[in-house]
Amino acid sequence: MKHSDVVVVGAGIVGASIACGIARQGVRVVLLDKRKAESRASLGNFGLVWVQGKGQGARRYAEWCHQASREFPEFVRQLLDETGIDIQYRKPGGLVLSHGEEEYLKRVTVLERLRSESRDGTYDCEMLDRQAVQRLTPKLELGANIVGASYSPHDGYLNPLALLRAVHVSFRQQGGVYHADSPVKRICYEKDRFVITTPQGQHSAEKLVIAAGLATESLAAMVGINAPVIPERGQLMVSARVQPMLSIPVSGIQQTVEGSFIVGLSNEKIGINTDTDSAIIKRMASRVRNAFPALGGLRIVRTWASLRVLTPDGLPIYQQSEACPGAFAVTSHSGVTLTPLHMNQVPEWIMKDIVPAEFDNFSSRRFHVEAVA
Amino acid sequence: MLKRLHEDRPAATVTIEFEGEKLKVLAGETVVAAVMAAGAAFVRTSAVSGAHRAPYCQMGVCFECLMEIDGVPNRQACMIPVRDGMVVKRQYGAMELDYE
Repeated sequence: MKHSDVVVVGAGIVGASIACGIARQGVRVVLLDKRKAESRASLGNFGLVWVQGKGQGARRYAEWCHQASREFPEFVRQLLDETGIDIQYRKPGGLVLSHGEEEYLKRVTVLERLRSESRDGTYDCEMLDRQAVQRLTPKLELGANIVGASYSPHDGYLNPLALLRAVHVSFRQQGGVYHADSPVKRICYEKDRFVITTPQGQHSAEKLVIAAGLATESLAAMVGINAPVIPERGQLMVSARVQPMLSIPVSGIQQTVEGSFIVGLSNEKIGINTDTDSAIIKRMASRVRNAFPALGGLRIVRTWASLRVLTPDGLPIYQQSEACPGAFAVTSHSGVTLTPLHMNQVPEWIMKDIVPAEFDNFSSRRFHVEAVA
Repeated sequence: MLKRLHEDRPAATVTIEFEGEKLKVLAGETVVAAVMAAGAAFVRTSAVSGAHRAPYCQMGVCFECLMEIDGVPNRQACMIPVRDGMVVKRQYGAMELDYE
């Protein structure tokens, strides 16, 4: 049995960034991955670093996302310095289009709510009228039905495949040890250490972090943490490359640095199912044409589906086990957006017990069912 | 240089235009086979690096053979049979989106 200081279970973007951040502290870390080519949210997602609209009724989450967005440019610079990998991060802001008056008014209400819930009564996201939106998308004429959009300067996008690779490379550069094909079958807590069993053998460590996407719930239960997660299917399509036409992500439509358009505008809670559904793809395509009629000329080369990892209330979970101190569970739907914090703040919490302000908002105790007398 | 397996077998031909040049090619073969057999060397340039690209899978999967055919850019030239009078050009970089 190999011993290390920390074992991280789950090598998607959440687990890998936490493992990398811990390894940067000079600690011996082992990162266990289910399978190498496993389908996972980190590989199937859109690549948005997205802030606007998140955290309604949960101020701390809105702040956590804003903080991540502020730290992103420096995080990307450091990752590039270390690994030489360009993750194609851009921060042009982001738009959510209003198709018709009704959507516009709904969006106004969302922003008002976020503003009223914020600490200082401000929320840095504004409504733009049609002309102002058109100025931000000068090469693509807006559809007739678009009345405006919300705009946040904090939104951006990156290449999620490059991000995951860069974090893995950085982790190994820090001396981290990665094991593929190592699904965790059993976790035992004995005398202040954890023994983790995989088909490849056993690992022991003083600390254990579970950040395994949709597998988090069953693994966290092994160390007494209740971490409910629900899969939500998102379908995406990607076009052939065309000349640069859109430099800002627009509600589920984005042109990559290489020129492909990516579209992702669906969410369905239908369990573990990564099929694509042509009726939904068709609906997405027509919404794209309503936004920008010229994009009707795009040639779609691929569609796919991927599963988001959602908690019942959509907020992340950061929880240390009470039954087995030293065991932690982390899960978040905003795995890409929160990467800088998972790399920098979360390792401080795990290794040094430095708890970010109001972190107990993200405790999984919120899901405990009250006993009925 | 690519060669057909059965150069000597008599076969029906059609004429296409490739980069302004008339080519006599075998009826029924694909556009990309026709231009490669005529010595095209490359059929497009990469939208990312600008490098010359030639067909790879020739069965509709890899999108390496994109060409402009009869004025329509980014067509998979391995999936389209030649037709008499067809006008074929290399696809240079990413296509312009020109949509009516």
